[in-house]
Amino acid sequence: MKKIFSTKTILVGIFLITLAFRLYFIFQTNNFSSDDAYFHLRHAEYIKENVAPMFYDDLSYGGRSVLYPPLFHYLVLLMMYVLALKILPEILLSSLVFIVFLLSKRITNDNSSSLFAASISAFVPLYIGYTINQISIYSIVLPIIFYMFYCLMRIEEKKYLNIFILLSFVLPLLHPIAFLFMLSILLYVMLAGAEDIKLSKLKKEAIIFSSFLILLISFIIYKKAFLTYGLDIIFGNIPFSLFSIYFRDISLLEIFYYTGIIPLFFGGIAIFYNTFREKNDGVFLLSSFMLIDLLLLFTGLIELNVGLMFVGLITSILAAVTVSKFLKYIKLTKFSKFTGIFFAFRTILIILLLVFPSFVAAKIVISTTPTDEDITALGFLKDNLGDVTVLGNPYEGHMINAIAGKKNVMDNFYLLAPNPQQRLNDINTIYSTGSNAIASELLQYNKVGYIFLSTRTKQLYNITDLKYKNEKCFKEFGMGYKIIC
Amino acid sequence: MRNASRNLEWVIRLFAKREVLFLLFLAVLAVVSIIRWDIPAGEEFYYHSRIAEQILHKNLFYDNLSYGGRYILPSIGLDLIIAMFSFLTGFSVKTTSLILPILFGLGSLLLLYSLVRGANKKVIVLGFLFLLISPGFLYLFTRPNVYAATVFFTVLSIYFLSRNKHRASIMSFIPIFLISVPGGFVALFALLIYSAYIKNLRIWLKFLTTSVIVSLVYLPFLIKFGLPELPEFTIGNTGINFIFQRYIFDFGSKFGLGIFGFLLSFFGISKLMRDRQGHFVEHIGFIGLFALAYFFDAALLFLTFFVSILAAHGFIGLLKKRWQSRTIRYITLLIFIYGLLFSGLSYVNQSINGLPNSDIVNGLRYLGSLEEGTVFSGYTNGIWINAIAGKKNVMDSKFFYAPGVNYRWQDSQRILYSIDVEEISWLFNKYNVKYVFLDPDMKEKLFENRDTGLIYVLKYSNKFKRVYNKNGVEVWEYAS
Repeated sequence: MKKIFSTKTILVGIFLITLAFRLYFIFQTNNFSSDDAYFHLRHAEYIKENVAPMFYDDLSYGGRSVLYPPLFHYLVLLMMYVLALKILPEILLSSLVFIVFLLSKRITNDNSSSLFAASISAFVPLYIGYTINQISIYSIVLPIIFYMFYCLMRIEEKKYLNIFILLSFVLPLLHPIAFLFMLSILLYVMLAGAEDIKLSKLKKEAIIFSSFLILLISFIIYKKAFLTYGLDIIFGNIPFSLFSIYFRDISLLEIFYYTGIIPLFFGGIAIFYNTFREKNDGVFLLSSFMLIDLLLLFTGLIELNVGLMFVGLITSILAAVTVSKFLKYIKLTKFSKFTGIFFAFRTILIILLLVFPSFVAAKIVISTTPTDEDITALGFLKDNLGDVTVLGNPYEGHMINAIAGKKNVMDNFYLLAPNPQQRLNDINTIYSTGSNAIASELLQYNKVGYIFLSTRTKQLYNITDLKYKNEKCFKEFGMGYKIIC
Repeated sequence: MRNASRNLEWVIRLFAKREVLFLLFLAVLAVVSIIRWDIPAGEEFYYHSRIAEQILHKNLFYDNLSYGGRYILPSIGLDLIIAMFSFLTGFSVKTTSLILPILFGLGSLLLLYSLVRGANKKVIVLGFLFLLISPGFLYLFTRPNVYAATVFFTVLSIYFLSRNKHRASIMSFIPIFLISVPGGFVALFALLIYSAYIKNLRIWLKFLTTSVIVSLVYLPFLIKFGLPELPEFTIGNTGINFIFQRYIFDFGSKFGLGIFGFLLSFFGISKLMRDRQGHFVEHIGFIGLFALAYFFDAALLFLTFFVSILAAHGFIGLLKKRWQSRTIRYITLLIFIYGLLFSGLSYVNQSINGLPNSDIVNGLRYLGSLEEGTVFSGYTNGIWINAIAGKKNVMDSKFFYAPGVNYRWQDSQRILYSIDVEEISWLFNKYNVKYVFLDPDMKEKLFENRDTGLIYVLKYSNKFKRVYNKNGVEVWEYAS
């Protein structure tokens, strides 16, 4: 078939389509879709004023220590300066298609199948749902992790060696997911040994170096948490009752639904083929990553959404192997005349099985985004409410801190948080109880001065108002109630 | 690359002199001990100095404060040593308790140095330096504990054995079983390895016989009290698998191995395997002690020594290895050095911030000024209540052979979480409780800083009166 567009042009096209898809959704709302975004925003603003990162947060949980790798907050600050806080993360996330292409190309040496991999990676439903319209740490972590894999594949070249060394410092300063990378490359060494794949000396050195560096930096950052929780740090002090959300068991059907049938199907075949037929070093590297991810996923040691997102992205890259083999095979047969039809069929499949579910996922995210009304109400509290603790649902704690500038009862940053389970129970009871006595006692315990009743809270607890409110103790104020007795 | 080797050579030359190494060890151990000289961290100091004090007052058998009164376990070797040393030198029991571990550490260092003098200088010096910054070693020789003495006497025994002074060796072995029975088992294992190394297993049989004979000291106690009542409750750290977690200090263990030392030791094992020079002691010692550490804490502390030596082998192996990338080599070696230092510094930091703090001590001193009476508190405060306040406790962390340990635990739980004043009063009368001692840590861990259970009762019942309240430390008086 005559080539109409060059590979580069198509790749840029995929990138632009991905970006357009993301931008279409993020411009439907003025706000961010996750509470985490406000956490990052507030920390970046703190750095703007104090230069140093925040180690003690006097608003979160009424005051608590914060252990979070600081680098990302400096990057957020940078984004704030270029006024691209909403757009830049989407650009970074969309740029993953370039890295996926590079990885696939390195493995298959085939442009067409690599473009296919790049296009399916952009529309993994969970990846879209988990990262769209947020100041997500994954917007920077994902490109870095996958680029590190690429660098490791080309480690013999000085340029990639230097980048790998640099990124080995950066990754653990960004996110604890660096541990996942470390475990993957160590497993890769073991698998390569078992399969008689000869690894170069330099590659082994780079792996040893990177693993120990990640370990050291992580231990330095999380020392306090390690000493407090030991290995339970993996669970990040998440309240038990939320375990079922973060670390629940997962069925095969759900994996297909969230990560997309196409990546899983083609990626799965690639792993199978590589294990039993062709021993491709690159596939082994990515398979190790996937194996560790799955292992942690099935043992409940990694957050479900994160684990599945990685599964989707890895299988997207590996799908290129299957497609490449398939195309080569087709070329040998009489069906070679129908490559155009095959291309069209492939595109339809992507639209039906990936783009459409991603569209639905993005739509859900946008529909659950805090409304302008909620944000305005919180902004109103900033200047009109005294220095009191504001009670909100557990998923808007950072917003209370960042927009209203008030103390919250709890938020979703649980590591080193004081009694998150107890606080969660209290919040749930306060919003759902009908008893004034119980609510008053809990409000007093948590030193709450204001109950914020957002649209999301009403949906979450299926209430229209507080059942126990009375004029004596609860004065309607803004979008909630001031506690006056 | 040559630069790094030259630096290492310089370090080796400097610390290869026994006197320099000795001074370094002395300085580090003294500094770590002095940091908490006024209020030592942990329970060990308070327990051993109190019992030693009691021995000086000729009370060897009965402790009338712990659990409201109980027999002292026969393994009072360390307390006897503290009492004797204090008596002979005229130092106070407190001073003796604090300097004795340092002396044990320095003694062990000198003996070990003599033992391994013929071996590779680089490995020895690096091994000792790694040992000095390991959490296990710092724990051993900066606070009074039975294992410091166990290690010292084991090394002394091996030293005499290496000099063919068998009688002196056995004499040095005798105190070990009087200091700690689990420590004795581990010492016996260490001696087994050494006996096998010098190809004289018959001498080990003598150690075995000695240990059986010395253990007869426990027989009257065993006859009088029978087998100990095992605690039917779980305490302390739990987690993903705390048994394995406690191997590594950086994962929250009290005195486990430093993670980087531990990982580096695997490089050491791999190097020794490649060398094919036997290295029987290192391999068997490592594997055996690792397995024993599953059962005995003492083995973990002995393992620290092996890990340090293996880590030194590993470090030298990495240094000598022909690396493809000089940058990676340089940074990797730096990572290991920082990693090893990190574990040691973490230990020191933890030690500085460890409980009891001045608030707790002030509260307990106030409690001590009140008239006699049993104090109810969390079991973790029990030893401090005895030692600092001089008052009886309902229970403490010395569970072994504690009278009615299980029902006391159950009753304690009932007291802590009941809001029935009558029930609490009945239990308080049962144990003659007159005071309740609360500290911020206890309030947070047991009550999540809420007015629930006992706190609720204390606050709202007129049977209790708060007589002390400073910085979260509270003393309540119970009017029966």
